[in-house]
Amino acid sequence: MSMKEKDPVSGTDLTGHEWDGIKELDTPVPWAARWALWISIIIAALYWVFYPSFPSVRNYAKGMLGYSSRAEVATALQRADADREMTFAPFASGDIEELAADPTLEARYSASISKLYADNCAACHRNDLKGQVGFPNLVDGHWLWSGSPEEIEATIRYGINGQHDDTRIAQMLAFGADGMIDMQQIKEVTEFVLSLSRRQHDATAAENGRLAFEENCAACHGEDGRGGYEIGAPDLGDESWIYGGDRDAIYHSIHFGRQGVMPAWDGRLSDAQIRMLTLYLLWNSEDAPS
Amino acid sequence: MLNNNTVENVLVLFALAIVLVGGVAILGWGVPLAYVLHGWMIAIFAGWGLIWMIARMNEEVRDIPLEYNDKVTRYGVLAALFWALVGFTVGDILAWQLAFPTLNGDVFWSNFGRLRPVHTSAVIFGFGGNALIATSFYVVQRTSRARMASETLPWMVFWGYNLFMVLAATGYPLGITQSKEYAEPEWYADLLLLVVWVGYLALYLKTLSRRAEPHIYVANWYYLAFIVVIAMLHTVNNLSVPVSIAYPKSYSLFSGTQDAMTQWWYGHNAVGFLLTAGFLGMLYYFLPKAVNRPIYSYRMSIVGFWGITFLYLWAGSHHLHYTALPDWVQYLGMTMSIILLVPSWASVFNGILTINGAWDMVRTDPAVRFMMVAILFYGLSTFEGSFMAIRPVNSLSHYTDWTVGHVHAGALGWVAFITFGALYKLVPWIWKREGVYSLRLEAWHFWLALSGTLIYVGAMWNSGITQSLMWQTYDADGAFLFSFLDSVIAMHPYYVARAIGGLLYLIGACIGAYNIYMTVSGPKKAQAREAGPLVPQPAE
Amino acid sequence: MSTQHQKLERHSLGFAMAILMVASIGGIVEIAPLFTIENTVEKVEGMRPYTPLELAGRDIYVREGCYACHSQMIRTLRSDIERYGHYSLAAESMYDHPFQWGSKRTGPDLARIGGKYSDAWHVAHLEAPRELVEGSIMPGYAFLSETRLGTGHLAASLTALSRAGVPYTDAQIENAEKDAAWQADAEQYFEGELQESYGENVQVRDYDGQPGKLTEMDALVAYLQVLGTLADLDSLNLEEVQR
Ligand code: HEC
Ligand code: HEC
Ligand code: HEC
Ligand code: HEM
Ligand code: HEM
Ligand SMILES: [Ca+2]
Ligand SMILES: [Ca+2]
Ligand SMILES: [Cu+2]
Repeated sequence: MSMKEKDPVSGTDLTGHEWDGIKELDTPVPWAARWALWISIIIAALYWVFYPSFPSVRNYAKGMLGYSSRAEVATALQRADADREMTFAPFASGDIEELAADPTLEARYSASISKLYADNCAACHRNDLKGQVGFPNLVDGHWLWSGSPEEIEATIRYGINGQHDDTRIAQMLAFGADGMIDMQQIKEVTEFVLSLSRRQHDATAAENGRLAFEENCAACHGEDGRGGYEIGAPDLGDESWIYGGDRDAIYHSIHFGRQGVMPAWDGRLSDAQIRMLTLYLLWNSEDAPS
Repeated sequence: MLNNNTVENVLVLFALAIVLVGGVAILGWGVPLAYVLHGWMIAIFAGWGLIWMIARMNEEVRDIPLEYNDKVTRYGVLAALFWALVGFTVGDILAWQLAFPTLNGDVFWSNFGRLRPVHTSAVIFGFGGNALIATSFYVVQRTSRARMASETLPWMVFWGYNLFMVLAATGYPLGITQSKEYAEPEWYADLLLLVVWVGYLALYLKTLSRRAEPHIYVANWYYLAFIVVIAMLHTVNNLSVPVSIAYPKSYSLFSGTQDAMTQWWYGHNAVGFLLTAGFLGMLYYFLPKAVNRPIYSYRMSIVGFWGITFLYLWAGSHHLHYTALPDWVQYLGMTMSIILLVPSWASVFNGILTINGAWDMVRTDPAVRFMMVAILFYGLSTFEGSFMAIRPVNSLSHYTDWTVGHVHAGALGWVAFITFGALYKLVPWIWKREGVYSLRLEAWHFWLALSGTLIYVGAMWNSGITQSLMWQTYDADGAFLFSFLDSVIAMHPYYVARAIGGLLYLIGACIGAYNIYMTVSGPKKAQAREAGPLVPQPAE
Repeated sequence: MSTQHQKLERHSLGFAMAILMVASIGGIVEIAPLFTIENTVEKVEGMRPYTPLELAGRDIYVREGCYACHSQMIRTLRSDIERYGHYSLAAESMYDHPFQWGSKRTGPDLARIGGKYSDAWHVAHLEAPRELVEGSIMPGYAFLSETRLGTGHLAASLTALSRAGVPYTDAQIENAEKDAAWQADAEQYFEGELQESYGENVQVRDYDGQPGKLTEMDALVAYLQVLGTLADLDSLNLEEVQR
C-alpha cells in the first residue's frame, strides 16, 4: 500500500489504476461529507418516527404525531371559516333584502367579492359583468327574472335550465325546427320582433307577423313583447339581448329555439358566497340606487 | 461459416424478423393513417436491417479487428445534434406560444398540448439519449481497451433507437400518445424500444467483459446504471393493454393512484438515470481527459454512485405531495430526496476538485468551461430539487413555473452543458481532426448558452413564485386576492423573457452545430491519436 | 469498503446485478403496498366506469395532451380546496387508465370542472378560448366540432379496459358503439336504457349544439361535464379516509 504512486500536484496517493490515461486519487471521503450523510439520515429518521412512513403488506407506520394531510387540511379549513365568520358574518344568515338595503357593505366588501366573481362567473358574464353573446348582461338593469334580490339569489343558487333539481326552466321553443309555424311566418315574426325595439325592419312584413306573434309568442313574452317574469322570457322591446339582437340571431332564436344554461352554484359555493355575489350584481347594476 | 457470433446473428435476425412482422401487421391492419405510416416505417427499417444482415452473412468471416469502432459514435453525435436543434426549436416555439397564444395556429397538429411532448422527447431522449449512446460506445471501448463486442449490435441500437424517436416525434402531433409524461410513445414504440434496449444492455455487458483492464472504470458504472435502470423503469411504467392491432391506442395497466406512483417512480428516475447518471458517466470520462488530472477521490465516486443508485428510486413521490397518494409514500419520497443531496453533491465536489491543478484551462479552453459550469448547475439543481422535495416548499412550487425553472436549470445548465463540453472534445478525436474548427465560435456558444440559461431560469423562478403567491394569497377578509386568470395574465412578461432566453440558447446551439460541422468537414490530422494498444484477451 | 468494492468492479455481470438489486428496492417498497393496503383507494359511493361517450372524450383529452396545462388533482391545501372544491380522492381516478393528475397548472385545475359551466360555454370556449375569456392563453380546438367521432373501436376499448380491471359488463361492451351515440342524442330517447346500464348519474343530451351529428366535441364535453361529479363526497367519513 505504501508503495503507491503519488500525485505530484496534490501529494495524495493514487489508487494505482489507470484507464485510457485517467487515474484516480485515493483521497478519503472528507469528514464534511460523512457528517452531511449522517445528519441527513438522522433528519430523515426523525421524520420516519414522527410521521407516516414505512409500509408493511397491509398497513403502514402511522408515526408518533398521528399526522394526516386530510385531517390537517380539515382543521385548516375550519380555522379559516372561523376566522372569516366575523368578517363575513353579515352574509351568513342575513335577509338578502335587508342586506341589499345596507349602504355600508359595498365599500367594505366589493373588492373581496370581485375575485369570487372573477373565478366563477366572469367566464360567461365577463369581468365587467356586461355579458357576451349567449350570456346575459347582468348590469344593464334588464332582468330576466325580475331583478329582485331574492330572485337573483335563487337564480345563482339553482341555475337556469341546469342540472339542479330546483333549477329554473326557461325554454324558448323551436318554432321553425319543430314545424309550429312556417318559414314565411318566421321571417315576418322576426321583422315584428325587430320592430318592437324600433330597429331597422320591413314594416309590412312586421305588420304581417303581429298576428303570429300574438298567437304564438305572447303567452311568454307578453302581448306587447315586454317579457314575462315567471318563465324567464326576455323583454323583446329593450336594447338588451342575450343572443345579440341582430336579424340572424332573432331568426335563429325563433327557428331553433333557445335554452341558455346558467349552472347552479348550490354546493359549489357557500350560502354566504351566493349572497355576496347577489349583492355584488346589485351594487354594480345600472338600476342600483346609488 | 460458424463463428463465435453465430448465436448473436441468429438472435438479431430473429429480433428483426419479429419487428418486421409487427410493422407489416400494423401497416396491414392499421386504421388511422398516422399509425399505418408508422407501420411502414417500422417495416422498412426492419426489412432493410434484415437485408443488410443477410448480405453480410456471405461475407468472409473475419476476426474482430484490433482497433476501436467509432463509426457508430460519429452517427450518434450527429443524431444528438439533430435532435438538439429540433428539440430546442420546438421548445422555443412553445415558449413563444405561451407568450403569444395565437401562435398555436389553432390547427390540430400545432397546438401546445401536442407539441410539448415533441420538445421533451426530442431533448431528453433524442438529444440526451443519442449523446449517451454515442459517448458510452466511445468510453466503454477506451476504458476497457477493447473493441465493441459486436459489429452489428451497435448499428441496431443506433438505428432502432432513432426509429423509436421518429415514431415518438411524429406520433404526438398526429395524436398518437399515452399522455404519460416522458413515456408518451404508444405500446408498439415502447415494445420496439424494449427490444433495442435489451440489445444495448447485452452489447454493453459483452464489451465490458472483453475488457483488458482488470477493473471497471467509474464512468462505466454510471453508463451501466443508466442502461439497467432505464430498462426496468421503461418496462414497468409502460405496461399497458392495447385496444387492438388496428389502433395505436392502449390503456395503461394500472390506474389512478397506483398509476401515478408508478409514473413518477419512472419520471423521477428518467431524471435520475438518464439526465443524471448517464451524464455523470460522461463527466467522469471527459472531464479528467480534458483537464488531464486524476479523479479527485475514488472513494467519493463509490459513495456518490451507490447513494444515487439506491436513493433516487425512492424519491419519485415528491412529485405527488398533497395529492391522493397516501401520506406515508409522500414522506418516504421527501426524506429520501433530502438524503439524496449528499451523494449528489459528492459527485459535484468530485468533479470540481478534479479540476484542481488545471484551473487555468477553465479560462483557456471553452470545453472545460462548459464542463465546469455544468457541474455548478448540477449542484444548483440538485440542491434546488432536494429543497423542492420538502412538502411545505413543494406546496408552493408544485404546478408552477418554478418546477419548469428547476427542470431547465438541470436540463440547459447541466445536461446540455456537459454534453456540449464533451462533444467539443470528442468530435476532433473521432473524426481525427487537429482540434475544433474555431475556439472563438466555441466561446460564443458558451456565452450565449450561459446567458440564455440564466435568463430562462431567472424568468421561471420569478414567474413560479409569482404564480404560487397569487394562487395562495388571501386578503384581510380571507378571500382570494387574485383570480386564476389574474395569474395567467401576470405571467406574460416572464414568458416573453423566457422565450428570448431560449432563443439565445438556440442560437448558441446553432453556432455549436456549425462549428462541429466545420470541424468534421475540415482537414484530417496528420497522425491519429490512440491511447493504449488493444489486446485480444479479456480480463474476466 | 473500497477493497470490497474492487472485487465487484471486476465482474461486469455481477456489477449489473448489484445495480438492479439496489435500484429495485425503492420501487418495491413504495409501489407494491399501494396494491395491498386496503384504504389506499377509499370506499366511496357513486363511482362508476366512464360511459363509452365519456371514455371517447377522455381519449381525446389524452390525445390532445391537455395534461400539459391542466391538473386534475385538488391537493389537501386550503387554497386548492377553496378555489377548486373538495380535495381529490384516490377513488375518483380509480378507473383512469392512465391517470391524468398532471404536473403543471398553466390553466386551472379541472378535477371538478363537471357542472361548473354549460355545454354551450365549453363548446364556445374550446373553439375559441381567447374570444370568450379575455387574457386566456389556451389554444383553440375548433376542429373538434367538425370531426365526427370515431366509435368503431369503442367495444375493443372497453374490452381492453376490462382486462386492466375496469368492471365493464359484457352487455356494456357489446352496446358500446350504440351507447355512445345514444348519450349524445338530443331527443334523449334512450336515457332510460343508459341509466339502467351505467347508473342514475348518466347525463344524456346533445353536447355540442349540433343535434344529429356526433362529433369529437360531443365526447370531450361529455367527459368534462362528468369530471368530479360522480363520487358522493357527503358520504365521506374523515376518520376512514385518513391515510
Ligand atoms: C356557463 C356560463 C355561466 C356561468 C359560469 C354563470 N352564468 Fe349566470 N347565466 C348564464 C346564462 C346562459 C344565463 C341566462 C340563462 C337564460 O338564457 O335564461 C345566466 C343568467 C344569470 C342570471 C339571471 C339574469 C337575469 O336577467 O335574471 C344571473 C343573476 C346570473 N346569471 C348570475 C351569475 C353569477 C353570479 C354567476 C357566478 C357565480 C354566474 N351567473 C355564472 C351563464 C352563466
Ligand atoms: C314557452 C315560452 C316561450 C314562447 C312561447 C316563446 N318564447 Fe321566446 N323566449 C322564451 C325564453 C324562456 C327565452 C330565453 C331563452 C334563453 O334564455 O336562452 C326566449 C328568448 C327569445 C328570444 C331571444 C332573446 C334574446 O335576448 O336574444 C327571441 C328573439 C324570442 N324569444 C322570440 C320569440 C318569438 C318570436 C316567439 C313566438 C314565435 C317566442 N319567442 C315564443 C320563452 C318563450
Ligand atoms: C397552453 C395551455 C393550455 C392547453 C394546452 C389547454 N388549456 Fe385549457 N386553459 C388554459 C388556460 C390558461 C385557461 C384559463 C383561461 C380560460 O378560461 O381560457 C384554461 C381554461 C380551461 C377550462 C376552464 C376552466 C375553468 O375552471 O375556468 C377548461 C374546461 C379547459 N381549459 C379545458 C381544456 C381542454 C379540454 C384542453 C385540451 C383539449 C385544454 N384545456 C388545453 C390553458 C390551456
Ligand atoms: C437531488 C436531486 C433532485 C431532486 C431531489 C429533485 C427534485 C425535484 C422535485 C421536488 C421536483 C418537483 C416535482 C413537482 O412538484 O411536481 C422536480 C421536478 C423535476 N426535476 Fe428534479 N430534482 C433533482 C435533480 C434534478 C436534475 C439534475 C434534473 C435534470 C434535468 C431534474 C429534472 C427534473 C424534471 C424534468 C422535473 C419535472 C418533472 C415534471 O413535473 O414534469 N431534477 N425535481
Ligand atoms: C432552447 C432551449 C429550450 C427552451 C426554449 C425550452 C422551452 C420549454 C418550454 C416552453 C416548456 C414548457 C413549459 C410549460 O409547460 O410551462 C418546456 C418544458 C420542458 N423542457 Fe424545455 N426548453 C429548452 C431546452 C430543454 C432541454 C435542453 C431539456 C432537457 C434536456 C428540456 C427539458 C424539458 C422538460 C423535461 C420539460 C417539462 C417540464 C415539466 O413538465 O415540468 N428543455 N421547455
Ligand atoms: Ca409509453
Ligand atoms: Ca352533437
Ligand atoms: Cu423528481
